[in-house]
Amino acid sequence: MIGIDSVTTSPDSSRAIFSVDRLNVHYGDDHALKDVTIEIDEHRVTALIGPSGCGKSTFLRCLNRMNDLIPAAKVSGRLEFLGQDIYERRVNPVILRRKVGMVFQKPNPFPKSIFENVAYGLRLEGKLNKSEIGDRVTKALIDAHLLDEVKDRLTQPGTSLSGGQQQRLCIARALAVRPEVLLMDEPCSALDPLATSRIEDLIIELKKDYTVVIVTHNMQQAARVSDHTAFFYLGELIEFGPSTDIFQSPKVELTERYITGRFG
Amino acid sequence: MTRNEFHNQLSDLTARLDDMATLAKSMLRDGVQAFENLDRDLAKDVDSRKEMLAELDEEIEATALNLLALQGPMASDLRRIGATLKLISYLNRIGRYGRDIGNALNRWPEGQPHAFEIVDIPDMAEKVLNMLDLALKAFREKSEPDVAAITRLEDQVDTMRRRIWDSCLVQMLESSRYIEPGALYMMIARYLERCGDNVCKMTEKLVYVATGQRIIVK
Repeated sequence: MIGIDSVTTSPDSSRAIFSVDRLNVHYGDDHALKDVTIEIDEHRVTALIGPSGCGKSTFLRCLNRMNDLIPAAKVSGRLEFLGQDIYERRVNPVILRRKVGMVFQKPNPFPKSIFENVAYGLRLEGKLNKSEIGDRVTKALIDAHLLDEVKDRLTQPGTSLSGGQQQRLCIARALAVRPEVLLMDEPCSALDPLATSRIEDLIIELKKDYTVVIVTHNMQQAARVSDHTAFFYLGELIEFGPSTDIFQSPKVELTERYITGRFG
Repeated sequence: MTRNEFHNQLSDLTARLDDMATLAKSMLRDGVQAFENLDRDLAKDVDSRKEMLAELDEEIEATALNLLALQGPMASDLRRIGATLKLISYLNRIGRYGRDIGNALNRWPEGQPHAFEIVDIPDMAEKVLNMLDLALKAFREKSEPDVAAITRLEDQVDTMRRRIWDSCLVQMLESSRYIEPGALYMMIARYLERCGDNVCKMTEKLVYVATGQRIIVK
């Protein structure tokens, strides 16, 4: 039914930052991801789409081992990040998560100042002096397109910012530790259209320096911001390719029916 | 997440395009018939249909743009709406060629019969109408058009156009009284050939709608 054979594993010739081979995830008896094979290219925005429960967030959370935090989750298969199997015993997930940062659906600033929110991960590293931390915080706030709006109130609580600003603060916090990849799980679903468009612009800007993988239910958003799109259904990767192809001329009938709103 | 209302609107858009195609086809068929039978009343009637053709063109364009702006269509829906915006231009052109063929009678002296046999012109029109039917069938049925059949008819139309030109030239060289009617016949043959070309462009779009693949119909 699903035409898994036709899935393109890497849509172009850029270097794959993630190579995923027959990845399976079980939550107890629930087979949440089934033999997913895909390559995600660096300095590209890859969108993961599909109906609720299709496995896209599960897949996203595999990329930095966030599923380790779920006791019933069992992961098998091979998932390489820059050639290293991240599920090997010797891989420290805390270090991995610095390289592969995550931004969640709902902005979750810490109950600290704006500055300290961004500096938090840097202080955990414990290797930087005050001046270096200041420079890194400034750079992260610039990269997150937030500095101009907060430069005069860095000591105020992060929670005092608007929803869109809080989300950009969370992005700055993730960027401060200089990740290679930014995972975003529906980062705009709690934001108004203006805040959403600022985050979308930011995502496009970020791919110059980072690789972005984004889960979104908004297909217009996926079409606007992503270079590649992967469509998941019932735990399977149904189709993967350049977003222009997926949204104009998908090859698999199931993708066509989903993105034209004929099921889901 | 199903989008029934949007898909109903898309079906309405297809139905309106079908209406426009029926009108354009009738203008071409009747324009040729008016010229063939030197029927000035029918030619006037065809001429009067141009307003309705323009109204349909504008209405369909507005509806298509609304759907693009408000519904965010994707995949085959997007291709269908994009193609519709092109198809209305081709249909408009075909309808207006039909009107122009009927209006050629304005330059024909009252009461004067045809100068010589024009058997290829109605035949040529018939083939163009067949091409149009094949293309529209695909659009209605959301299927791939029969490119081979359309190309075959297009080749025959081109051959007939050349034959009409050659025979008109021979007649015009033979006698100067054939110059004016010969020039009109050649012009009408040219219009019909252009209608065939427009159907070929429609066919390219319809293949894209059905398959997502771009082809060139020669």
